Amino acid sequence: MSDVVAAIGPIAPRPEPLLRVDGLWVTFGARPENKRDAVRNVDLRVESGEVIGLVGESGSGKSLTALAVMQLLPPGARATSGRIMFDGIDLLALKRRAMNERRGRDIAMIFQDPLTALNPTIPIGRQIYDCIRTHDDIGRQAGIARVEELLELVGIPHPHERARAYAHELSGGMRQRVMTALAIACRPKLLIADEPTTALDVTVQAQIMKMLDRIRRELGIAVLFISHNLDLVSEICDRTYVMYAGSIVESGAVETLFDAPRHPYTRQLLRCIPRLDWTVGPMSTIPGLPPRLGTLPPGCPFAPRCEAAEPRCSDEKPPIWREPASGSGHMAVCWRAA
Amino acid sequence: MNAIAPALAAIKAPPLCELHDIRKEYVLRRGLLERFTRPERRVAAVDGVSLAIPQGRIFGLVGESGCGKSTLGQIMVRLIEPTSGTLLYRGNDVSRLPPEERHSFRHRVQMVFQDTSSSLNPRKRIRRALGEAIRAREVSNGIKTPVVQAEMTELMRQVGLDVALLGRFPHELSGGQRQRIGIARALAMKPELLIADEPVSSLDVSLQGQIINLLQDLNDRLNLTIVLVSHDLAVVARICAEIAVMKEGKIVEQGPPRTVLGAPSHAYTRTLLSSIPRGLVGRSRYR
Repeated sequence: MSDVVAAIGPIAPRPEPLLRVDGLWVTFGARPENKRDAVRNVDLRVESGEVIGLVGESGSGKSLTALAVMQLLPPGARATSGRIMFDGIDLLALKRRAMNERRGRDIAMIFQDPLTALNPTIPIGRQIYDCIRTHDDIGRQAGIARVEELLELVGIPHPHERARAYAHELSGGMRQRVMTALAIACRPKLLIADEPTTALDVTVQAQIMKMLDRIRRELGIAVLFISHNLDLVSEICDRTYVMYAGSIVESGAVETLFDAPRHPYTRQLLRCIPRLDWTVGPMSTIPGLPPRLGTLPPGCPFAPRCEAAEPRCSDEKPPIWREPASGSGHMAVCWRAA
Repeated sequence: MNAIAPALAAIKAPPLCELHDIRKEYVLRRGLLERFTRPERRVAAVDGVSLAIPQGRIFGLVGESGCGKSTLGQIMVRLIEPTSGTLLYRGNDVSRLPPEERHSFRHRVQMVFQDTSSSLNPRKRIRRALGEAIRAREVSNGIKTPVVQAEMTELMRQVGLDVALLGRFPHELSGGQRQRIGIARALAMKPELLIADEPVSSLDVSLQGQIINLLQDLNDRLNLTIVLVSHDLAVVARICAEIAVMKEGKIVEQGPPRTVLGAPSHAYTRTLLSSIPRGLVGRSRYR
């Protein structure tokens, strides 16, 4: 483990963020008549060593944004415009082979379902070993030692024995740890975690969150954490982006989003989270459903479900509000934010 | 009902369904050689559970995956036969019911599943999924199509869905809408007991409340007894009159949520409680 830390070294502050997504559009459908925009004009920034949350309901485009960064968009979806600058390079302009070299080495991703992401026919240790040898020209012995270090780092007991296990022999929480070990095997600069705990129990979820926080602390890896639960995200994140219907509707430091949310969606979302606070009466919900892909209202997409909507909200596109005392980076897209 | 729920819980309601020392064992698979060399090994998914589900209440069953709470739920609907123990429904032993009563037991106890997409046939429109349930209920008496239609309209109204959705296929609905259809289909049998196995854990937080409020509403209006199987303590605490915490096939703690979760006596309950995400407050545990 200490070797892994030493290999990475301290992270020098840099002026340019590690990841900068500018005006990203992801579109389904090739012909103009059946084009549907799933991600609309998303701006996003991740500094080195930062933990960033990306929150939204299913279908809000949060996973597609992450997959666009990884250049792993599903068939039919294309990043039609925008720039994804990672470490000074525009990923969208990279050739397939150049991207393959970076994927896994510089940026890695863990998924909601580790069982389908791991190979069922190869022992887990071997999978991690293969990943290391693909990107790193180290010897066989050193590679094996690194596998065991990594398994220990993610909190798998008896790494030497467990390296021989197959994915199906492990519990869901252990699989997610293996998935993480695989993702950080080549010491990436950025780890994207797409709902890594949604399939897990609360107790295991708490363990995985601690593990992610530790990886960030000990290895200085930046994490983009995707979830639908704001409570969970805010436990480990520095800043959070809230997405709705394909766009970012609010972003800022988690403390700000919790204490002074400016967008009604963030406010309503926070109220929906079931909490053990002995309140009685019906639970808060957000009435209605998010707009279907390709059928956006002319004004604010959240207007039909918004508790604070005014007539202009459904007719005119809302302006972008930014915290005037710059530096906080708090931003919201709402008529009433100011 | 909600405001007085704790007070009501103190008064014992007559049990609708009773479990006495229920055990469910599974025999572990052995390899070909092991079948001759090793003795049979068994694992108990449910290990001697006794419970009484009070009539007209929402009863919560909480615990981690693998603790046996879903198995127990399925035993209550008799999807699974217990290895030993007795299941009483309105005081009668369910395994010794005469055939005609066994049939009506099946109607009176219904289940709602966690996975909303795999519990509906993808090739059938919602109209058919619901209609078949209604016809199945009246299979011995027969029922006329207009009556089925009227009943479907009423069911859709009860679960808060637009009648127009009847013509849709499951994949055209959202997860929350599909879960309402699952509940409507269970209600079509006119049940007295509804077992809801993790009904909200596959849903977005913004939709969870809608389903939980619906369950609460059905309990209030139809006096429907509900067993809510869930790993979400916050949800369970909100609507259940009584909860039981399960671990490794056994019930470790039981009582009104305020007692069990407010002052947990078992270490396992405390572990569950401390694992709930707590937003900004929860940050302290990493620092």
